[in-house]
Amino acid sequence: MKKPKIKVYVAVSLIVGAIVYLVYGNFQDTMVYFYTPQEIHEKNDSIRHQSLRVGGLVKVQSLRQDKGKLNSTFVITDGGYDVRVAYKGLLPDLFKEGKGAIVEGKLAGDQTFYATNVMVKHSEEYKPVPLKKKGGPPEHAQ
Amino acid sequence: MVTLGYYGLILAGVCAAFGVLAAFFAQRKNSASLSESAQRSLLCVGMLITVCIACLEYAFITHDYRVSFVYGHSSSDMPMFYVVTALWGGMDGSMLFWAWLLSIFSAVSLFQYRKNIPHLMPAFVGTLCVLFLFFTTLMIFTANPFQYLRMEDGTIASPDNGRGLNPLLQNPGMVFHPPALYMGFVGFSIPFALCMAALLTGRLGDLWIRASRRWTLFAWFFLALGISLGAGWSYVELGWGGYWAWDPVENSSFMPWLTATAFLHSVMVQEKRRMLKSWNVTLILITFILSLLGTFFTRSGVLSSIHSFTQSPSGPYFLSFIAALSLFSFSLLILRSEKLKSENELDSMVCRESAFLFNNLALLSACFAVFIGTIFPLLSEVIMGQDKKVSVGMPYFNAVFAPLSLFVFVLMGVGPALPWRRATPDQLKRIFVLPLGVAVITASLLFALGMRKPVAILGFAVLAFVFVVIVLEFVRGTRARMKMSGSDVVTAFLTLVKKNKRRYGGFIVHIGVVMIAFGVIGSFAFPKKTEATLKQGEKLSIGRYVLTFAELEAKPEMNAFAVSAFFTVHNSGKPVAKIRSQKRFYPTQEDPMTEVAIRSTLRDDLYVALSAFDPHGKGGQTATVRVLLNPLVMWVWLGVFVLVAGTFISALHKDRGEVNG
Repeated sequence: MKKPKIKVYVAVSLIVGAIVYLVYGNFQDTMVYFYTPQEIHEKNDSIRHQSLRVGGLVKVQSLRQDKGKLNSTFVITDGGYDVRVAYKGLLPDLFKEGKGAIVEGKLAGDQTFYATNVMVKHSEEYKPVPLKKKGGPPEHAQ
Repeated sequence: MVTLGYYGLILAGVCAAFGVLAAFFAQRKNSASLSESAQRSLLCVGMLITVCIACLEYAFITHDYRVSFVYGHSSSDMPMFYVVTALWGGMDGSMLFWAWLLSIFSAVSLFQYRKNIPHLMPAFVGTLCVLFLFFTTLMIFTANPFQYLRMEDGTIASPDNGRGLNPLLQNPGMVFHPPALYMGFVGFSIPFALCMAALLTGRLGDLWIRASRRWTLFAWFFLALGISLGAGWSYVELGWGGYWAWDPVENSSFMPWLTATAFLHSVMVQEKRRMLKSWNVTLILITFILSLLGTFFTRSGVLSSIHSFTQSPSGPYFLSFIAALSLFSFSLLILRSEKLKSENELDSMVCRESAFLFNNLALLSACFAVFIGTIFPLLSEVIMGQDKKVSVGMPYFNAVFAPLSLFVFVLMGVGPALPWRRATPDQLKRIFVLPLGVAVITASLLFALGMRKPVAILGFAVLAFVFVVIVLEFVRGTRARMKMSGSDVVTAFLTLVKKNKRRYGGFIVHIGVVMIAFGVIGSFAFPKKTEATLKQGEKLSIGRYVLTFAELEAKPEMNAFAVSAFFTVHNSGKPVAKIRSQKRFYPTQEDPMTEVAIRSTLRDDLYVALSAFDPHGKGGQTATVRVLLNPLVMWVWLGVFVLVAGTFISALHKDRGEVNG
């Protein structure tokens, strides 16, 4: 009766070990850090060619697109610092100048951030057009 | 009505508090009459909550926008169907809905068990009353659905129209998704209460675990349904082309489902071999705590940022309750561990018990991996500060989950076919040689056909293995029955399933899961995607399909204004369909919504999302589209149907003294 028990313990610990390795290893490889435009400027060299995310507002009047809308450049800003972003592909529907966006990709030597993924910050809570009618409640009445 | 609802809530809280006290003293003094009165107060709480929810629903139907929650989640231009169901469109209403489901479930379970297991009733009722007490106080103090909308000077505002429900949520899938999820989440509170009752009284016999198994199956089923509805909604409504993104909200409903799946398997080991008792208790506790956490995560907005967590007072309150509950229940488990000793030991490595043991291990690690991935960005924000955010995205989850699920699927094939206690080499040969052969042939065939993704090849091979094992089980069973009764194939097959509903229902569920996995591997490993701006008459080809942009059309539709782009679809040269994708503009919303066009076949889905349009472009109208070709997606939805059917069959099984394995 003793023998299978030891075998089971060995098997269990092997599996647990493999899983811990799996989780840990993938964490190292796939974790993406989030930076603000300011940090991009400060850390410039140390983070070049690394996968990362930058979040901020899309600068007003910075969006340039080709006719097919499949190549875009725009600027992500935190008010003080700007990051120039280039993206191949359709921008998400809710992407707009003056609104928040998060881009994922790499910073290249020419100081342009080449995005592979553009995300729009959209919260679960739905924000509709504010009421303008007279007598309506103030926007944050709750 | 609003005042009635609010006072109903307070009264329900008082009643629940009384129930807790009555149950406590009933247990202490072993008094049947006190136990009776605790049960009555539980039913009373249920009735009061029902009154509350009726009041809130009344406020919705009569468009009473003085109520802040009604104002925030509905508007007069919405179809009545969505107005009625907007009740669970936000935090406050969801909490009330949670409590209401709990009232129904506790009433049903009370009538089920008060004759059979009277000795557990006081503690059972007491635990449920604690849950009610928590939810009523939560609503009264921090998430009151009956709160009036107030102007800045404190007077009650009475706007003409509400802010409306997010158009994204105005979809049948999204209407039934939250209730199905909640049926799951709330359903787990009955096994939890039974388990707590057994732990508190120290009467850890077999009755309670059998009762828990049924309720867990019930909750597990609705959770699966809720998750699938959510996936379906995401696929049709969000327009990004997928149905599962490892989104934190998705994960938090998936985690209790994983642990419940583990429980449904390991409980068989307890029934058959009287092993893994404390393990089963642990699984019930974890599942319920994850359900509470899931409710909290999906509604508090904490996952998008820790910031939103501290803004609302319900967050800390909710989290402290979960922490206290976990601490209490697990300490109790440790205290009672003497009584939960296994009565048997594992006889060998290759037997059904050990397959179930490893399956549990794998499911729990999968849950753990998902948990870490979901919670880590939050933790790093807490520890390293607001602006040091980290994201853990799809690559992590896919990389961790793929090998783990391969392991689970191998066990899914091996486990149920193995005998209990010990398998002889002869038995192994008989059961597994053919399936293994089919798996090897599948893998080499796929490789020969040009497939080069090792994970996908391995995945398909494992699925083939599982499928053949299950089919052989059916074949063997039917043959044996034909020999025994001399009946024809069909009757033999039907009686086989009828006589062993639990076992063969389970196999059908497994086939459903295999189908789902088939679709998932196909659509995750081999999607094709292209984007383009098309002029009228211009073509775009993807796989075997050619898409031609025909025209734009603009007209009002329901409570929106819709711009449709029409496309003709050719399959290998033959015209097969005319499809349309829309942009819908809602008067109450700033941004338009995309309605995608999907053409589904068993082989693949053609998925077209209109991203932008220009009615006056140079050279006529243009449409900018995102087009995807997702292989095998339909198998996911078909698999869900099979899973539903299998669960029904296995739920029809009635426990008699002994249980069929």
